[in-house]
Amino acid sequence: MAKSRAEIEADVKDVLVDALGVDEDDVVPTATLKGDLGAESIDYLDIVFRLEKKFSTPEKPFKIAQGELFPENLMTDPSLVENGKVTAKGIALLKEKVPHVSLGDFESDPQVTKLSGLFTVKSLCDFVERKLG
Amino acid sequence: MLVGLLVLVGLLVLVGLLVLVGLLVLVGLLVLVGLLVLGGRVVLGWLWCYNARMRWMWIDKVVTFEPRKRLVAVKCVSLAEEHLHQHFGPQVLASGGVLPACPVMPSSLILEGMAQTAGILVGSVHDFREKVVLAKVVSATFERDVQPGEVIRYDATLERMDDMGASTVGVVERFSFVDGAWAPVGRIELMFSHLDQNRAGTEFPEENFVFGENFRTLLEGAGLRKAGVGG
Repeated sequence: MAKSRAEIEADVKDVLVDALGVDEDDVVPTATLKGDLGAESIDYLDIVFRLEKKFSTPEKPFKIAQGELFPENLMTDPSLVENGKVTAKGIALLKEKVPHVSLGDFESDPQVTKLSGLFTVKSLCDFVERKLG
Repeated sequence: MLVGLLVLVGLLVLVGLLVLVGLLVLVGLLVLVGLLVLGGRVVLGWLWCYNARMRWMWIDKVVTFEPRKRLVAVKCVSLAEEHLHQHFGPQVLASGGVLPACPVMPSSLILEGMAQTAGILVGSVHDFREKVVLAKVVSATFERDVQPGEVIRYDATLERMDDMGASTVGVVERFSFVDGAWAPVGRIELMFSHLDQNRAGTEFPEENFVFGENFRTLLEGAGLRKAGVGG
């Protein structure tokens, strides 16, 4: 039986509380993983492993391919980033590879340092919901 | 007569000068030898420290290895270990009494032992080509101290792994010859990163400094690496 949005949000909250050691009340949809919840580099891998474990069932494993949830190393490609800003090609690739992330104002000022601020609790829930179908 | 006196004085001055020069040479030599000995001790001290750093080994032997799945290692805790003389905890005696300050193995070093056990398990998956580093202590709980004369068993299981890193779950137990039984010490969950696959794209030296010379004997003894094979 498919999980409801509320169930997905509760499970994602559990994952973030365990992975980041944050308080449940801090895990709100708009909270960013890095800025608000203090996620560091290795935490992203921890989150991926925990999401896989949380949403896998014996009938249907929940496998997340490298770069599917977070665009690891995507932004180190010189054709995608110029002078610290994501190029038009990079923006197009982000839309294609990470559709669960809402770019919002990022397109008007695409500084690569702001990219991590786009990953919110909501974007994680959107990713899981889309992937579970 | 006068000439004789002058010759005598001249000889005395000459002998005096020779003695003075001799003394200066002797003192100089003694200073030189002293410096060499002192310098040698300093150099030897540096070498000893370097060796000590290279022997940062907190497991004695790998006793079970199931490729890509599980690795078990043991460590015998000895009172000869320096750190035990600076770390104390209470000990409950069989009589019911309590000794307030007995040497106990620090939990941080038990954690290091588990990190080495689990790190070898993770490294073995890619035949020790990856630079496997401890990236995160997800959780570490301890319920019992370990004392000199006891044996620690680290039982590490590989839970999940991909190109970027791995997660492991480990159980720590200790064997007491007084009780004649194994007892739980703690549980440790760790995350390892493959250093060359880091998100920032930072480059590191080609040489695998993680599984270097210090690990080789241990790995060879466990049959995880052929003797004489480099890397």
